[in-house]
Amino acid sequence: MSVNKLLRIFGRGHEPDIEALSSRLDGRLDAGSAGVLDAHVSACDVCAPALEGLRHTQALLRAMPVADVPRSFRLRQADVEAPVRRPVQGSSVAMRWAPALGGMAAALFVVVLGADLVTRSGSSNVQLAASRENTSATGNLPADHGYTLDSSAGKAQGDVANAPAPAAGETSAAGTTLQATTPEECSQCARVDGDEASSTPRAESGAERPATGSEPTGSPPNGDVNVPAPQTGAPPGVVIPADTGLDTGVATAASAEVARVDVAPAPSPVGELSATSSEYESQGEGNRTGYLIVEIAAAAVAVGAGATLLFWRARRKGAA
Amino acid sequence: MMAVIPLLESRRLMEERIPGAIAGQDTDAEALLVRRALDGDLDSFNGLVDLHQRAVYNLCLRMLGSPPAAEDAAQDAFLSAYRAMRTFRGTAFRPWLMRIAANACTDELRRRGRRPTLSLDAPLAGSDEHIDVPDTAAGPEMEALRAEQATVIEAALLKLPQDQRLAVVMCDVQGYAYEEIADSMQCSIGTVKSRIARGRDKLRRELGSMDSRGR
Repeated sequence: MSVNKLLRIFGRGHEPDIEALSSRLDGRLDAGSAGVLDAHVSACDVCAPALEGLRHTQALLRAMPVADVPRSFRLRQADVEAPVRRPVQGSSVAMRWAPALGGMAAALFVVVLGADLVTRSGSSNVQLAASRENTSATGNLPADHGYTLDSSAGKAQGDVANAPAPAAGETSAAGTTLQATTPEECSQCARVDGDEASSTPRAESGAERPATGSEPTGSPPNGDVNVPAPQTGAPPGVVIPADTGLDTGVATAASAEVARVDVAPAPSPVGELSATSSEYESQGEGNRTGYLIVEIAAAAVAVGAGATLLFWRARRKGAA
Repeated sequence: MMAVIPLLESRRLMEERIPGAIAGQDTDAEALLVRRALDGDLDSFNGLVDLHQRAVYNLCLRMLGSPPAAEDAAQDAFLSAYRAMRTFRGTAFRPWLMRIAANACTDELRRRGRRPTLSLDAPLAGSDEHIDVPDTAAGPEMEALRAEQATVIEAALLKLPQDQRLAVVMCDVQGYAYEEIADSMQCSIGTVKSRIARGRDKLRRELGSMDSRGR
């Protein structure tokens, strides 16, 4: 085996320079380059068949028959005056993406709005319970604030804390009649809400969690009486002054302590209650702000996509 | 095995079928028509249509692979050219017209979903009676062979990317020079060289694989 043949074998792995070979076919190489390429091709087992393949392909293309026109394309005056429908530059991209983008933005808006509404209702319940607890903790509600106590109905029978919760308007075991109004409707409750709830020992049985229903609790350690919340109507957190003559059947201090309708399962100071409420509030506020931002952004994208669609459709009609 | 058509013979035939296709220059008569068409003379513009409609239609046919689509694209191209005459700046008219025809083919491809297909229902170029077969002396066997070759080449051409297909059609099918192709495609001569080379190479490989599969 000769050295040249060995060299050709070693060089067999190179790829042919298609652009150079193609230019050589079209006579676009200068004389010097053409000579070097011809010398290489004549000795190269890779480039030679490639050049021949290109030459054969070019010949086939040049041999393609020329089709005659099926009709005359001369223009008539009516053709010139009639509008020509042509696609508007750049509209295809907008028309392709605008509907999908607008749909996704609208769906995102609906989801975020729903989450925002759910969060608002949850935080409202927290605030409502917190305001009720604050009201019960102050102990300063006047007797006539909104809850009517019929003390002439008689003394309490047994432990009021264990008494079955009377329905609104019914007479409880303790002989009291509660005509419930909601704290929101009660002007006294609203006034009390404005007062600063001070931390007092008697206020230890504050609510640690939002009121979820009528859950009677055990007697608080300071002697306050827990009257279970009625099943319907009467809201929790109602403070019944202890000097109304109501005999709760539970030993109470001689001082002006109050019986409290408490739904909290465990005592906690009002300060902690306020802090918890504040935490709920601040957390709720933060969530609402975030939701609002996302809602505005999603609405803006949806409106923008819709406007883009309408704009390009109008342009397309105008071009047509 | 395919017969090899002599290069000189095919180029002569091409010049006869598409006058001025290889020369690449406007004649005096054409220049006069262009000047009148610039003033809005529809009859002069139709004179230009008569001169170039075969080249435009064949370009559209090779780009789209379908005679009906090529007919629509060619009509759109001439309408667009008439409306855009005021933008013609007095250089060679044919490259400018071919650019408009190429754009019309692009629009037609977009309308058809960017996928040109060889129309199986419409008559293929090379097999229909209206196709001009200049050299009848070659005999019916040669005509049948050329028709078969054309079908194979057409199918392979439609697989090329649009820019390579346009460059190869203008260079090898219609015989335009690199400069005219660069003017029509609004790119450099180096880009034209590259697109032609890559298009030819892809066709070479495609035709080679077709041969090996027995088509």
